[in-house]
Amino acid sequence: MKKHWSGRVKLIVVMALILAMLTAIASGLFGTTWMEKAVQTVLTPIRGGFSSITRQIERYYNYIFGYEALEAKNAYLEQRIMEIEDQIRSADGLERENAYLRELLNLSRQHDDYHYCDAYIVSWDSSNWKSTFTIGKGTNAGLETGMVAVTQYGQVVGLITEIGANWAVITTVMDTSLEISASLASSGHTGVVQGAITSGEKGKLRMIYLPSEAVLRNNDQVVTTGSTVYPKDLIIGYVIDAGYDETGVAKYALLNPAADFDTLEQIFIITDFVSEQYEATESTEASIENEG
Amino acid sequence: MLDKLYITPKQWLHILRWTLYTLLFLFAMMLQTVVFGNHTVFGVQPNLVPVVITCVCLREGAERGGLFALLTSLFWCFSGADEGSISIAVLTVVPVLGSLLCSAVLANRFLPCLAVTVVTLFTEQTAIFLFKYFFDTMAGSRFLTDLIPCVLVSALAQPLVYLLVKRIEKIGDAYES
Repeated sequence: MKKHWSGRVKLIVVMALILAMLTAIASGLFGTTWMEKAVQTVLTPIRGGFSSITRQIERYYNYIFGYEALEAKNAYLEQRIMEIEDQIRSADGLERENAYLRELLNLSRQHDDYHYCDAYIVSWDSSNWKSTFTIGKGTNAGLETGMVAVTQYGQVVGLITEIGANWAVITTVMDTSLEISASLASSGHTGVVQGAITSGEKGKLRMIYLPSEAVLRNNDQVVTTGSTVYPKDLIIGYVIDAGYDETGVAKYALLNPAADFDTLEQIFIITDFVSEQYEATESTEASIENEG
Repeated sequence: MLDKLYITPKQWLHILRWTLYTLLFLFAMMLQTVVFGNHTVFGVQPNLVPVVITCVCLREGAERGGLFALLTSLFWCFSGADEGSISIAVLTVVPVLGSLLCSAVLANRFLPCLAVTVVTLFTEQTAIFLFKYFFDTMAGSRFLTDLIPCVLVSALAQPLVYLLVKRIEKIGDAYES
């Protein structure tokens, strides 16, 4: 073995260890390095091509086995269900607003201020330990880090966390690194939703910091509370289980994500929306000015 | 001067061989990130890149194979791999050591190659798992439910990859002899 352990082999091993350390340090200090950006920029068109070929093959496969009609019917029914659920959710929200806030605030209930940019998923992170995917659009299409990705039904998919000229990495709601301020659509109790990919509940979400008096029922909708990052009332998931956390003071809920990640191909990035916090600040400033 | 620019048929075959290795690596990477990225096999996402790197490194030897392993794992890291820095170290060092071991002690055949592939997969996945376990909120139970199945499922691809690498390695053999 000693005769094979040449100087060049030693150099390769040492180089590997040094490069591993350097990339770890660079990644920790600067986030996405220029080398990563360059490689991703080159790879994105290749991945896009490979992805479209895969989609075509899947389409032909489904066509051959006669599933396309069933898929269309299923998509139509899913859309109908989402529309009906959206109406119910709107009614719940409106009811609470009428009861508690109508006379106090004059908030806009419609969100026609959203601006979207659609994008196709070109690749998924292949790791079993995190949940991210890459889309084939980036800063060239006006995207920025921190923008929210949703489905066509307004279900939260994730957040742009890395970006290049023609690509962007979306960290999904299933990843533990994302924390979203959320509320139960039926009761209005608020908490924080985070992914459970690294805990035992793979493919689920956890809603934590719920008050102990919160009443949780199966299939209760969980929606965003609205912030400068996430618009209000986007659907995050549905309650499937609940209990008390380790402290015994607060409750937690286990959620099924609303977005169907298994069949996700196309997503929509909300590039612009009027934040309610921003509006509230503006109206307060205006009223102060008027009073002045 | 022009004589130096002339590429001999033997050199052409060498270029073809390494181009094919690179294409095989890229194909495995695309399969892993595009096709299997959102589809699971027996509940886990297969890890094909280490399989290709290990097979090439073992067939080509610690020097040339090691350089291939270093460059491809670096590319794999920059392409956005999960904890890519760990991959650079593991996917270069383990196949190189495996190659040295196979050359010195074991025969450079299918079964030793399969064993080294499993060791590479296991080492890489365990290193990433431990990193997530200590610095993130990874549940320890996922070692059994995800890591071991991932290694086993990924190893299923090894015979096919080994066969392809063996075929590619034969390119230029006539000139070698």
